[in-house]
Parts: sequence; C-alpha cells; structure tokens
Amino acid sequence: MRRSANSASAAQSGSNAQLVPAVSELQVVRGSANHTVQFYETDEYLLHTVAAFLSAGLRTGNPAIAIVDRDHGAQLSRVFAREVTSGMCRLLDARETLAWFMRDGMPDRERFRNVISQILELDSTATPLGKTRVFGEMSDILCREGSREAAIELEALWEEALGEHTFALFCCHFIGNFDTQSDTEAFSRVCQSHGRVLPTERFSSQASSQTQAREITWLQHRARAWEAELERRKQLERSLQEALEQRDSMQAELRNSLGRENSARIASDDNDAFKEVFLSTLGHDLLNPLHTILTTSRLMKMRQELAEGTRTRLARIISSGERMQRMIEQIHDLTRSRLNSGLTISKDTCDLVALVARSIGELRDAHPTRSIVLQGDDTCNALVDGRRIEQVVSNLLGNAIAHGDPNAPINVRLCATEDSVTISVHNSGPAIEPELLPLLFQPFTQQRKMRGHSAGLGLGLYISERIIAAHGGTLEVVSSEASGTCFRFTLPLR
Amino acid sequence: MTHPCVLVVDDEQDVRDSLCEVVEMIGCRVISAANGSEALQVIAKSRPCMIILDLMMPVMSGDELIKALQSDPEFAQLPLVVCTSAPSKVPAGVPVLAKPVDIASLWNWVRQNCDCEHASAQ
Repeated sequence: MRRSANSASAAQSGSNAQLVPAVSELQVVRGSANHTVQFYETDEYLLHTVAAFLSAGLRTGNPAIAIVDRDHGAQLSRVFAREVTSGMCRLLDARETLAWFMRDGMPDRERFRNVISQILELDSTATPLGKTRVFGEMSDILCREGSREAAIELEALWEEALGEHTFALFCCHFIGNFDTQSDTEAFSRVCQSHGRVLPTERFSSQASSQTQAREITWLQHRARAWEAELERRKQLERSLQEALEQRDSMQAELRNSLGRENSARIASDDNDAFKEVFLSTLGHDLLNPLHTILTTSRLMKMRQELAEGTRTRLARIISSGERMQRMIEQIHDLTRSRLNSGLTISKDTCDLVALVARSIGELRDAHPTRSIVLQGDDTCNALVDGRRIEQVVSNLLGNAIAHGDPNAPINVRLCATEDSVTISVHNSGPAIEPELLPLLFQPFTQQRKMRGHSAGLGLGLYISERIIAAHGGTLEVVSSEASGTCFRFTLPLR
Repeated sequence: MTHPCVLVVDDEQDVRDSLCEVVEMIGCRVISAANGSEALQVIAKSRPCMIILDLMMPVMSGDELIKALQSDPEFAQLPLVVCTSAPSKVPAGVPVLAKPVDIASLWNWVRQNCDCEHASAQ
C-alpha cells in the first residue's frame, strides 16, 4: 500500500523524522553555479574527474590551475602529458598555498583574497577573454586533518572570490570525512556552499538513468534501515540507562536495608544483653542469698541443744526456702527456654536405672508413707544430662504423690529397646481434667483444685517436656478415671 | 595440727561464712578467699589440701582459677569442687555442687577427697 508523504512523516519516529530535513538541507543552494564539489571514494576516480574538468578548459584555450598536494600534482602531470595536447595547467602546491593565508588555524580573509587575486590575475593576464578553471583540494585537506570549521570557512571565501573574479571552481571532498551522524551538519554546509554537487563514483559511474534510480532507491532503503537501526539502538540505550538507574536505586535500597538491619542487630544485641542480665539475676543473684538462708538454717537445725519449738520454726524456714529454690530454678529454666536458644543440656553417660532409683529414694525419704515401686530393666546406660533427667523424674514422681491416690502405690517402669528407653510413672486416682490435657505441657498450667495452692508455679511439666525435647525425646500423658494417670517419656539411645 | 585444711573461695561473705561453717562441722580447718586471685596467694602460703570454689567472682573467676591451678604441676592434682548457682557453666570434668548446697553432699565430697598428706605443715 502506498502512503502519502505526510502520513509517512507522521508515522516516523524521532530520528527517522530527522532524515527528511537533513535531505531538504541539501536542496538549499547558497553557492554559485561556477562552484562545483565532487565527492569521491578513491583517488583514482577523483583524478579522473579533475583531469576531465581541467582538460575540457584547456582544449578550448582556457587557463587551468590545480591547487593540489604533491602526489596528486604528480599524478595529474602524468595524465595531462598523456591525454592533453593543448594548453598548460598550472600546478600549485596546496599546502604551500594554505600556508600563505592560514592564520591561527583559520583562513585569513584578506590574505586569501590577495593570494587568489594574484593567482587568477596571472592567468587572466595571459588569456584575458577566457574563463579560468580552478581545481582546489585545500578544503578537503583541512577536512581530512580535522579542521572542519576552517574548511567550511575556506569554501565561503572561495564563494566570495567567485563573485569578484571570473573563474570556475572545482572542489573535492572525500566522502569518508562525513561518516558519522554528527558529520551531517558539516556535510550539509559543504553541499550548500556549492552550486553543483556531484555524488561519488558509486552513483556517478552508473551508466543509465535507470541504474542510477535503482542506486538511489537502494541508498534510500539503506538510509531508512540505518535510521531504524539507530532508533533501535537509542531505545536500547534508554533501556540500558533505565536498567542502570534501577540498579542504582536497588543498590541504594540495599544500603538502606543493610543500615536498618544493622540498627536492628544492635537493638537485638541490647536485647540479648538484657536477657543475660535477667538470667544472671535469676540464677545467681537470687540463689546466693537463699543458699546462705538454707545452709545456715540446716546447720542450726543439726544442733542437738535446740528446743523443739525452735527446731520446728527452723524446719519451716528450710521448707519455705526449698520451695522458693524450686520456683527460682523453674522460672530460670522457663526464661532460658523462652528467651534464649533453649535449655542447656550437658550429656554424659549414666545408668538411668540408678538415676531413677536415686530419685525414688529421695521421694521415699520425704514421703515415708507412700509406696513407690520400680519395675523393668536392671540397668540402662544412656548418653543424657543426668541432672536434667533426674529433674524430670522427680517432677513426675512429685506430681504422682500430689495428685494420686495416697493408698495406692506409684508404679515406675523402665524399659529399653535397642534404639530407645521409655520411663513411665503411673498413679491411681482421679483423672486429669480433660480440658486441661492439651494444655498440660504449657507454662503456668495447674489443675483447678490446685490453683492458689502453694505447691508450685505450674512450670514443672513444661520444663520437663522441654528437657525431654532437648534430648530428642517425647513426653506424653494418658489419664482416665478407670486406669489412672500415666506420664511416659521416651529417649533415643543412639 | 594434722587436720585437713580446706580453702573456701566465694565473693559473697555470707555464702563464704556458711560454707566455712559446714566444713568446720566435720572437723576440718578452713581458710577462705574472696576471689581467684586472693585464692592463688592463699594456696601458695597455706597449702590447703582441697578447694571449694564459686564460679562467678570479680577480679579472677573460678574458671580462671581452675585453669591457673591445672597449668601448675604443683597444684594440678589438688582436689576441687565448684559450688555454684549456675552448674551448667562449670567446665566439663570438674565436680560441681549446685547452690543452695546440700550439706550432706558437700560433707561426702570433703571426706572422699581428704588426704592428710596435703595438709598444711602449720
């Protein structure tokens, strides 16, 4: 489908749109008709066209001047010697001529005018009626050497000279001097300053107008393709820029996040320090005075000479002190298990049967009327924290004595397999309230009838469960009116 | 004067005094120190035959005192028991009695480790 020029322009993106005015710029002609520029790709083609331009004048008796570098001068001489039979072309060294009028890197107007006048007067004197043909490549040399502004200024001075003198000027520019996008403006200005613009041999050498049209079409295609490619790359560059900005933003966020984490860590360290002070207060600072109270009371109670009333009062101090000791130890354990990484377990090999028997012995001493029966294996060595397991057994036995039928024995059973050992403590008597069973191993859980009783804090089973869990074992309970209550814990032996 | 000499090391005077009384009740002579550093001076001077020590003390802790004794060939074999309210912090292999201390257990330990050859010549 054909599109109108307007709709095509409207559909073009930013850089494609730049192509249209750039081409239009070339249509602006400020140079005179006698001022021609030949773009070229090879020296061979350039010399061919220059020789054609100059020799056409020579053949009609007009003077010819070539302001060229030494190489081109030598090559032109050879061409003329071979092909031109009449007239004489005057060769001027381009660099020497430049040196006559250049000042501080730019052509000096007055000096240029003097130099050109001398050159042209010389020839017009010789042939007053003729039209001198001049080829100059000084502007091309300046462009090649990077002095683009000087080259364009020189073209303007040539244009001025064309208004003052009668001559035809043939300039040349290497097309490779304008290869980048930023060269477009300079390229336009060079084109505008010449009345005639001749394309490079790539186009000029095409024989027919049809092949030239094909070449133009091809060049239009290439131009649009490059413009599209340019736009694509600009888009990529924008995306890359956005990605870089996003990365910077993420890095800033990461830095902020690290800062926040650092602050949180410092706060956490402060919190840890508080926990340590709290635990130390519980474990050390409260137990030390209690030690003095209990030890002193026990020592006093040992003295034979005490009156019975004093002995009873000392027993009361000792009993209360021991209860306080248990509570402090339980709160210490609770705090350690809740605030820190858990209870500290220090394992060593010990005989669990002897350990259980020792706990039973202590309970029997304290409760001589109660019957406690130990059944099961005769020995069972295990790698455990003996002090902690003894704490569990004492707690379970204490509960059985407190809640069980005082007239029925408490049965303790120890059974080991190859992989594990199970210790159970069973008592007859009323069942544990069913709604309490799921909460039994939570801290501060007590049977309703025991609430407000001074027996304890309701932490014993919670701590026991934590101790067994720290050994990789489990503690469970079954309770019913018919069969009584049985606490059972299992420890791995491997 | 052949009674065994027991050194009690604790930074709290009440605790120290009560422990001294416990040890004296079974007929031992007792000397005391308020921290590990003082204990080293007393040990060098009085040559006790056993030590009952606390763990957490200022200037020099019980832990540091144990290390100092273990590194000295003269005292490396000296019997000692840590009497502390933080038994989990006692170095492995060192005997420990938790505070509040059980008097019978402490007496048992003293009797088991009584070696009159270590007794002071004083």
